[in-house]
Amino acid sequence: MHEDDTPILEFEDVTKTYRIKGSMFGGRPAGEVTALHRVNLRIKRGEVFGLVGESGSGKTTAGRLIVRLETPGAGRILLNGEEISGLHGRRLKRYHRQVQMIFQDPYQSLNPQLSIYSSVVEPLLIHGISSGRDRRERVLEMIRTAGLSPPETYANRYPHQLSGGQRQRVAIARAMVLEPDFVVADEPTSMLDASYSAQIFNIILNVRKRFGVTLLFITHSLAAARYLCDRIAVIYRGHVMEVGSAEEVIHQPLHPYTQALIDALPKFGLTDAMPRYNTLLETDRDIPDSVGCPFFPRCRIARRSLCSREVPVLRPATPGRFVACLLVEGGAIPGGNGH
Amino acid sequence: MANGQPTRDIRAQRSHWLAHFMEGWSVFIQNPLGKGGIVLIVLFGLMAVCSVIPPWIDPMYRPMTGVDPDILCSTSPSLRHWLGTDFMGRDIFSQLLAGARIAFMVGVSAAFMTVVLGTAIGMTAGYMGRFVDTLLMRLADIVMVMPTLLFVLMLSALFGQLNIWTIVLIIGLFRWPGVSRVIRSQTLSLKQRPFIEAARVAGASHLRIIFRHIMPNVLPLSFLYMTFRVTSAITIEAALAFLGFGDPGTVSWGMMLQWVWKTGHMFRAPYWLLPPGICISLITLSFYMLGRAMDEVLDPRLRKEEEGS
Amino acid sequence: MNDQRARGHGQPEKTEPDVLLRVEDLSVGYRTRRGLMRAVDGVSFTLNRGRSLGLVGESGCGKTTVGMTLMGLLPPNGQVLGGRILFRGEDLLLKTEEEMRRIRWNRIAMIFQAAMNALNPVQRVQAQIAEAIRTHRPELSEQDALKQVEGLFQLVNLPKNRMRDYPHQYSGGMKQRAIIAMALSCSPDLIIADEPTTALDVIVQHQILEETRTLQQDLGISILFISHDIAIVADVCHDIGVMYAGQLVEYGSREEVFGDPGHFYTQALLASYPTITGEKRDLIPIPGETPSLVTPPAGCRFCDRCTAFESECRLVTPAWVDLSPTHRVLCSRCLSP
Repeated sequence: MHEDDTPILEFEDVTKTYRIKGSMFGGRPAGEVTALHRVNLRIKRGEVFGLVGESGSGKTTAGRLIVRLETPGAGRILLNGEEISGLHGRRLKRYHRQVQMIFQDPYQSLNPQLSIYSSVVEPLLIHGISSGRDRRERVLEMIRTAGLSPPETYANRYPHQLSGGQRQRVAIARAMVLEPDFVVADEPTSMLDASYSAQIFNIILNVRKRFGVTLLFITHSLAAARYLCDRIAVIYRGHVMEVGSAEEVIHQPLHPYTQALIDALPKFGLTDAMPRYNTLLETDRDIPDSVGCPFFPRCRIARRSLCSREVPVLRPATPGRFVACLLVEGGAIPGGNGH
Repeated sequence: MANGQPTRDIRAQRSHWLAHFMEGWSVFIQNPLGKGGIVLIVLFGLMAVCSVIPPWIDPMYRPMTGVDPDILCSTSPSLRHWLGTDFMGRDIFSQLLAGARIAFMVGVSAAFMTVVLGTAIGMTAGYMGRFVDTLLMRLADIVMVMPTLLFVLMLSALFGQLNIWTIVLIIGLFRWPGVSRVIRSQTLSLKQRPFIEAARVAGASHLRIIFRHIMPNVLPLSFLYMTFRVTSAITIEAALAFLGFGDPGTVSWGMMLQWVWKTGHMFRAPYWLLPPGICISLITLSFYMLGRAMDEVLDPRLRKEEEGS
Repeated sequence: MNDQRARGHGQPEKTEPDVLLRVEDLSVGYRTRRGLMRAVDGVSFTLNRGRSLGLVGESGCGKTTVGMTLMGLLPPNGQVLGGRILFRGEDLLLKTEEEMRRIRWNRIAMIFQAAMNALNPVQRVQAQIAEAIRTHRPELSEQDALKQVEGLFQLVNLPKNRMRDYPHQYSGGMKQRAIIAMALSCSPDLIIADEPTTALDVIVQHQILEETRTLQQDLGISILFISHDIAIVADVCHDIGVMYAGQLVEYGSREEVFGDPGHFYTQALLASYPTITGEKRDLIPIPGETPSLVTPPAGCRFCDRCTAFESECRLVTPAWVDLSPTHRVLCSRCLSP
């Protein structure tokens, strides 16, 4: 299916750094923080792409760059082949119609003074889409698709009358009401109780099936990514470490960091079910971490002569699989298959 | 969907506002300060409204021009004149009622102007940031340190007696910095909130964000500050009138005090001196109590989620 | 009378020295504007020495309230409505504030939610822990206290050369370890940890939980883990108690609860959780929302969301059913093997 291979969204060598002001009380020296370092990604049309990383990995920054809340310092981001950092005015507005975001915090992402209806209809008003009864139908239908039924009851309520899970569903409805081509879901369940995550996941899948929208799912949970995503990229400290299909990355992880993430997942008492990779050092090595591989201070299998000097680059390991590890050569898994 | 749906939902939306209001009201009324403040303000409101009654009963009760033909000097309270008469034989009680009307007019108008100006400037400074912010805040600093009273005194020295509305205008123009500071910091904190970012991501223009998202969240604070401004406006007007710089054509409580003093009845006619003094104090107190009680209502922490979150 | 008392669960009275904590029929409520909210209703469980118990449930199910009641730290509008808390044989609810103060930290330590933010930013870490030690053992000199801090640092895997640092110089994981060190400082018998690893990264979280488990085994401390995330307690606790809407609905060993969940809520919880292992299956979310605790429904509180709901569930107060001597379930419809 070659026509589907053209990526809908691409990151080309994207770098983003922040300058932090020094603080007397925090003891922080002024300096630069690299949120993203030469990130390359290609997201295919219609897929759910997972960006998995812990805090400080840069995954949220990547999402913000896509929706133009910020612009990259270097590199290009392309939607359907067109670079987005140069967009302004009307063309930027048209871009917003195609690319939307579901925010992380359902308690803060809805204007407390607006009713649910007002919050969801707003994008339609901004872009002048439909009117009158049609517009109203469209909003109510989207609220219902997001799992809030009957939509009329919810439409008249205010955010503080809804639970966190319900608010997040409103956020999904709002993001989808424009029927965008691409949606960034930034950790949509991290502020909710674990037991409510499944609801949100299923709604997202439902929405994808119905509207054919491409999704970037940002999360810290590999398990959630496995459930939702077709492909996954693992990101650590601004560097993409591994890319591949969800099942492959999880059952045959190539990068020691991915392996450490898998080790850290709960086994629910079934300790023999997964191999233990043991790629994490108990205490970090104490070196200035601005040279070499970002994972070096914590990597058990790292070789100092190599890993502390060179920055690994994302290279193809097997077809469809990419790894950024200096120890991986053509599919060979360092440290064996786990013991 | 049936034809009747839209209207029913609009009605539901309005009734939600009512429910919202009733909820705030119940909190407000349970607070003793709120109760006290409301009672006093209603009392003064009644006074203001009733100020039209005495002249209607008998022209001698007209506060400014109505003199009692039988009494042409200051007398103590009697059946005909519940609070007595002033030095010209005018009824003090009707003057008091008229003063209430003036107090409301001055207080509310000046406060309204202050708040509108302060909110607009504060929101602009907070949202635009950088150069505009610095410029506006420096302007606020300059205006803030200028003494309102002194300025009015200077103006009236230059231009003679000032009209009441001029006074209101000046009070309004001089008191906005305080409001603008508060609104600005509120705007700054709102600017970072995710729902503002969500509006940006949806493609909203700056203007839309300011009017649709920031303003509604900032207005409750504005209203709160308006109650404080009312008291200061009334006090300033009273001070001006007392010092003899008020509008001689209006009967305000401050003006009444001025007449007591100027005609040498300060220590001779307590029935004339006390009522306006007490009224000024009480109305100031009542708006202050109102403001403090509203504080509790408008505090977003009160907006609890319903059961089942 | 209903059958919910702990003794009904069929477990023979164990030799008392083994039982560190026995909670019997505890009920706690909060006075709110809408009325009395019954946050905890008839909860009973036992925690033996050297064992860890994970108390799991959604926000608002009452688990934090249980923890706070154990420590005697209910807010002013909270009140104990009934039950007993037997700690080493003594009822904590009957103790005075003075007696509780002596028990807190010395015998029972608590790690609150987001405790790492409770570290004083202008005091060195070693000083804070030393202070905690000397508050409860004033006879110790500063030197001795610092020596103890050194020992604690070693225990929780914190490098000794970081003792003199300030909290902001620590990473999140290190701060959490410092908090654990503080909790251990007076050698308590029981530690109550309320969501101890929120705001920590996945990997650090896992490390700390593993370390906690090792510590627990080595020192023989009992730990009560409170969490909304079943995954966190999954690999760390010996026993699991599942709470829903103020009630304990299932209790048993980890293997029993995860391997053969009895209550439909537990089953639904596990079915809604994405896992790495096994076949990729559909996640089945739990529909609906938790019921109001001001007017709790009669009968089973979960019935509105239960897949096996039948009309009698709404009317009949569910009773405890023993699935094994150590595994019990609160449900009218579960069958004993």
